[in-house]
Amino acid sequence: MKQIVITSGKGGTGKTTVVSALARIVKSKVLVDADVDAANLEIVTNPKLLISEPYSEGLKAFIDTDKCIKCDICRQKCRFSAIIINAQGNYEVTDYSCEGCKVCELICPVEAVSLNEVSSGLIKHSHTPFGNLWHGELFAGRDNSGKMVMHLRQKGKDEALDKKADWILIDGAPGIGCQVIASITGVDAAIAITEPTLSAIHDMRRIIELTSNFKVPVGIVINKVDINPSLVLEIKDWARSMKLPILAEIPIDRRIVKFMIQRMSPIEIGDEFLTGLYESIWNNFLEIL
Amino acid sequence: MIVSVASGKGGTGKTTVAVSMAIAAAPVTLIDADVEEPNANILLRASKHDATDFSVPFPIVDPLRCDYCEKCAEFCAYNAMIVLKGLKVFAAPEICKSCGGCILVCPKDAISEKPRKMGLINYYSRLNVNLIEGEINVGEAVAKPLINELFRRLPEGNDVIVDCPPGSAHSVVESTRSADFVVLVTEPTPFGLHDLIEALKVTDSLKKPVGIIINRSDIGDDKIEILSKEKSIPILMKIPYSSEIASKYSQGIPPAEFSDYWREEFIKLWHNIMEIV
Amino acid sequence: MLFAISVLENKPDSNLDPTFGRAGAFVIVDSDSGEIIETINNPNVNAAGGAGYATAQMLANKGVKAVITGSLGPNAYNVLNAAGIKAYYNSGYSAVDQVAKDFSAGKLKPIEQSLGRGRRHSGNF
Repeated sequence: MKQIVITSGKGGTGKTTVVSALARIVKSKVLVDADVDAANLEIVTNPKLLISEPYSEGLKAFIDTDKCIKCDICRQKCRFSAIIINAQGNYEVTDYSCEGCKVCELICPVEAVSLNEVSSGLIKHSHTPFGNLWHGELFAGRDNSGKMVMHLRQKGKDEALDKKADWILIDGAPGIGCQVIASITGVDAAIAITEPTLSAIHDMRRIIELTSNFKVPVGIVINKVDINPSLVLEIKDWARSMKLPILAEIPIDRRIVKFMIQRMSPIEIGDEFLTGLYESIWNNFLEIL
Repeated sequence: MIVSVASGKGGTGKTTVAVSMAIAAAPVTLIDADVEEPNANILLRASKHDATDFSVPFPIVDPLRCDYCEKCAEFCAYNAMIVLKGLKVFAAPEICKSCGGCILVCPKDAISEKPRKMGLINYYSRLNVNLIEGEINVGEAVAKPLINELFRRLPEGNDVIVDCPPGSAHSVVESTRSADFVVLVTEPTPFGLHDLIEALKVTDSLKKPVGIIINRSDIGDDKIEILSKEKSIPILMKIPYSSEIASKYSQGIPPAEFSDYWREEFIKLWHNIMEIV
Repeated sequence: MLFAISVLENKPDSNLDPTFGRAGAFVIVDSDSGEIIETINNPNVNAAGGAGYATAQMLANKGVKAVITGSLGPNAYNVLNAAGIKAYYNSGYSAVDQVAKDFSAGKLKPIEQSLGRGRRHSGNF
């Protein structure tokens, strides 16, 4: 069993569309959507929900106003500026800013602070025609610490081992922070999706710095190549100098969006050339493994 | 006035809108709060005139005082204190959140703090736009302290435009919290719609006035417009797909710079927002 | 001497888990007798970050002197190194008894350095 993450650094380069195509190409796999902040893989994989259960990211502090003597020590010691004096003049923890470090509980002289589990999202398990999908839903405004991503990946790994699946395909999140680190750590290889724009190239370099820190082999897909053919050449030169293989070059094709709106992947357009391109991503990728 | 430009989904055109609006509204301060992947200066193309290190406090253990009692490790909510009994005690750099708890619980006074560099704050200026950009080091996990620091550096009395990180998680809360108005940039696809709904939950909970910009407005369906009518959210602008905009963007040139038409449109947009606020 | 093998499940006849920090469990073997003396669940499977640090710390404090796994991140490597624990490589999902035999026979290659540069350190090592 091997774990593969599809990543990009910059958002909107086409990660989920590539995963939706690979979901239809790769046999024997479990799907994991690691972009819990904007979970879109469910839109294009026609899932039937099997389980949805609440998920708690961790603890948040709570101040009992009856016990609080307004000594202000907690507010001064909180490094996250999470403790405020509200309109009624009471001390209150702003849920969004609290990191659950417990310092306020430790230093409160009258034991007015307690820490409670706070629900931060949902963990979902669905059946799709292309294999089972583990996906999450982080409630808006909650901290995307990567914990939920790790949890989903663990569930996916358990299922893949149980069913003796060959692959786990992970749809990554944009950025390079905890949620992305959590999607990369421990994978066998990565596919980075980029496009010929200066922004996407800048972001891809940062994500590849991250994957190489983790010694994860990477193949590159250049999407929307018609935007700027000369930048495509630059990406290729750079990839050659970094010894990174280019897996495929995908042109802009308005039918891809049209099919996405009908919740279908580019494979279902039925265009031989396009299907061949997406298949070549996987075939070329198998060679670098 | 502070205007934050956000979007649930990545790659919808936040930075294009933020930089174009900044050029149209100049003189103005532009904050790049997408510290994981800061791209505003790719479109502003200004030269850097200053940069400062951004550091967070980081615990250092004095091996002569430490007696390996493990109280710091027991207290640490993030499992960032590593205790190898009799050998070494240290904090794991990217996991520590600098809460200061280990210092408070150490009975031997063995823990102190020193600054640990986790990123940069860069200053750029061009076309009367002052850009303040946060950039975290690759490998750093937690962007929030740097985002907060950017807001502490806002100049008084200046209009400010904020280019937010994508998504609808806490980093977006941090970068829209002080805004007077939030512009949500989306695209007319199921992905765009889904993520717009998530982003609206954040702006609703913060009770911020919002407006929508539909980028590549002619590539998809009309579900965003239906949603905006249902929720009475104004659509401030529609930017149809244009290979010219895409090609110029790819070279780092925003619409407000190469096109008089779009420059006018972004000036109108800015005035429109000022009127709403 | 005690050595630990990263395994998929918390049972003596499990198979090797090629990941270290987030391995499902560990089997601890006494090299003198060849007996499995303990199997432990890995509490760090779902840790958001720092699983390598925490798992290495746990094994160090168990008193093991060698670790057998499929790959080792830089954080885990540094902790094991600081604790004087040697790491050995075994690929795939081999059965635990076979891995233990190969180790005792000196057939396993040591992991001489971390597989990656890791996240940037600020010089605490």
